[in-house]
Amino acid sequence: MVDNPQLKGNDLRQIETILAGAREFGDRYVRPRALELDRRAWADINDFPWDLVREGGKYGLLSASLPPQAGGTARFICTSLCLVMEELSAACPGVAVVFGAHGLGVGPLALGGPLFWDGAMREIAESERLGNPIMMAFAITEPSAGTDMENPDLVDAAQLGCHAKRVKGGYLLNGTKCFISNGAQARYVTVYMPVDPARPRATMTCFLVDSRSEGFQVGHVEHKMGQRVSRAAELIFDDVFVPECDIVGRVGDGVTNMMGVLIGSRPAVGAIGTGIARGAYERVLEWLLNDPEAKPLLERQQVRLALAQMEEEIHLARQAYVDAATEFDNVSIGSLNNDIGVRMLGKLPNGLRSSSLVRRQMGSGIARNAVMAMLGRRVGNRGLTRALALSSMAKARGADTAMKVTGMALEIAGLSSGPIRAELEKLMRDAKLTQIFEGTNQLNRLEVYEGLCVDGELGLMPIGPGKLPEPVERPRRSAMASSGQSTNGAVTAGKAGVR
Amino acid sequence: MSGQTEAQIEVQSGGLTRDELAEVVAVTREYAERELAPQALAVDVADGDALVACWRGVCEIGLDRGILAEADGGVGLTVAGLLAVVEELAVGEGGVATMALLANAAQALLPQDLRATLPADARLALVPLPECGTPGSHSLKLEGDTATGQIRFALGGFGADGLVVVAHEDHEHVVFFVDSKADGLTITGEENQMGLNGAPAAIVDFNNTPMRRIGGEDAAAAGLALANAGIAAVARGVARRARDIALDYTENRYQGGSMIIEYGAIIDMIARITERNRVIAVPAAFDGLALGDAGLLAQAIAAKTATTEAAADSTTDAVQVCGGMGYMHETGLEKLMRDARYCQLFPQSNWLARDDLVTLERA
Repeated sequence: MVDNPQLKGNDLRQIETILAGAREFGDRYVRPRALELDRRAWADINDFPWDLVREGGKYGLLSASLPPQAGGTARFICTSLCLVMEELSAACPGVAVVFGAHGLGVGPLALGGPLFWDGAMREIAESERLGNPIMMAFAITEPSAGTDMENPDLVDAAQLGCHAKRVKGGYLLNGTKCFISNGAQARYVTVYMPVDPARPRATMTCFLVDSRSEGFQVGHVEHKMGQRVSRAAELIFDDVFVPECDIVGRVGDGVTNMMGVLIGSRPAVGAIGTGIARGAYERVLEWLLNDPEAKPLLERQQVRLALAQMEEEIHLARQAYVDAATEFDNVSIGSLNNDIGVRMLGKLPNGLRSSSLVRRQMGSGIARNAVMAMLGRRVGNRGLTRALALSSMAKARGADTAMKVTGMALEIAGLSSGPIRAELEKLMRDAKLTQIFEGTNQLNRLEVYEGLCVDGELGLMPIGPGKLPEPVERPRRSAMASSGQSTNGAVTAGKAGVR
Repeated sequence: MSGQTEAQIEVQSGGLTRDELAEVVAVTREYAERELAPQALAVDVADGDALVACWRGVCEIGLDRGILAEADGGVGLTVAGLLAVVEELAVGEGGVATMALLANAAQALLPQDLRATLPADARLALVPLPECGTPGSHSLKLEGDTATGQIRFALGGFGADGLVVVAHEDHEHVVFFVDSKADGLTITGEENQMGLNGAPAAIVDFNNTPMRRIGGEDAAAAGLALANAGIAAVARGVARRARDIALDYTENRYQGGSMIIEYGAIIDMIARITERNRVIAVPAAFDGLALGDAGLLAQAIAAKTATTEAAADSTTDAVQVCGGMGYMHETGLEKLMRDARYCQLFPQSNWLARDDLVTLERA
């Protein structure tokens, strides 16, 4: 399945279970409805298949991106997420991205360390189990800032319209984010804004925003060429208050956090591209083998060559994302979750871990600094740059493969091929977005240059001393999260900031 | 040479002077910019009113039958002239341009006596079926003067008053006309049409439907030549529009503190789009060629494969240049990408077209 020597025993079984579930869910519930969902999504901008999300929840697809300590199932998060994405994308990329964008939203929390295990993430796991799914979204892009928001070297010059203003007990968020997948459905959004608009690179911060907060509003929902089931929405922040305890990591760690998430999510985009290509290839091959009118085409050498090339492209794209996911899980950021200290914390009973004493310690400056220090020590700038390069390569390769293979499949089938044509056209429309989101392929390849061609180092670690949130009473909304207490541990601003 | 081909040559003899053609092209360009382009998104989402308004405009400037001689109600366009106006229309809206192309191609193949029986404002559509032996090509059976079976995808066929079909019978081409009101004919709108929505596609069912045979190999060659060359012209117009939108965007979008046109990655894509647009000039490649000329079909197929691939690449690049905005319907670029992809597939996929090209080259 996956050539990862560390995947064995229980870990391997867990991933095989998740994969089998994703495949069954895709084949039984998604693929037969893919065209209908696409049409409905175009006709009614408010239509969203919550029934399908609930069904996916039965297969653990919302918790697939959670660390095991927060109720997730797999230790090798990136690998398992990628495999799920390929399976779902072969059925319907739009549905895959609903779950993928949720995983992206979860990403900052998963990287945020033990403090976040028992908040929104556990709520997601619990609600999934109860059949009342909660989803997340990830908000970076702004109307005037897209690709440059995703590059540490460009972000200082980006035309950012969002900013977070310090107020008593937290921050007020203002501005507009756009093209946010799941934006209109998400309960929680991880959103990036600078605290000082004049110094975005140094002060970019990740905030966990509850979409029920006052001042939060969903704006325009886009009509997209493809991946229509996954809604892209504008999110408007009008003095949205976020308490200090919902700062993910430290103030100023936003770029590091964001890039860390992208290192984990770009292989998943590569997997989405691979899945789209596979979906097109499987459909056209099935048609050629089974439709009496189509079958004679298999006698044509051009068709055989095209099919062989499709196989080849898909194989290489899969290899690229598996390599990147393996690097993430075994070597770079994901490996932090396998740290002995983190694993021991994970073995604490939930009740104990949710106690005010332990939460206070985990939310303390020392703990938050420790997370960043561990990242610096175990991975560092060079390790992050290399991991980013591999993940960017996987993303660009998977996306290009999706475009190429869907185009080839459509070319073989032609306009008169009957019902299969609409499915192939949909996959091609879906494929184009993979070349654009999570940084355009061009930006991704520039990061491959940095990380692999010249063994460079992007400034991915925090560039200034990360300021620690001050202690504050955390207002809890759900009974499950009621254990969240104030954090009043010792805080020393300007301490860690590991370079 | 068949009677139909003689009729086509007669059509060509009414050709315009170069100055007159330049004026027709200029009028078409202005109409496309002023009327078609602003309606393009509405046409794309099958807004019937918008489509009717656009088509009415095309008819008013005589481009629904411009290839006919003036005496026959046309403008007297040569093949190259028709391609020039189709390209200009496509800069405004590719589907409407395709509908104009198919109407002209159908009119060109129609014998005068049959044309005289049709209403003056009848909209016709040429329906070239895919290569014999490929899916969709052989479900239609001709017996005497009746047809039975199905055409799975007749681009521009929905709402047409009559169809001129290039079909196959015993591995030979045959061209026939069928009135849309003929007994046993059912024309249903195709629900899944990704591109060129301004030329609404139809599924056409024949049930012992009376039809009139109007030509054989020569007429088929003429029709296929117009379809191939014409779709190349549509593709080029679509690519020109994509280039205009993308270039404009690059000069107004800033990333990392600079206009994005200053980044190498963007320069490269814009340059490639421009290269393709400049090198491939469809109408010029047909200067002096007339319907019935021996080399016309090969020239048309070569133009179709090269131009439509270039357009598909250019429109895809144009979407990429504009990033997330390019992917959204409101920008109008993703529509152009979908239109260009359909140009690759019509009248048949490029890989099949290349088969035909080599066959023609070897003949």
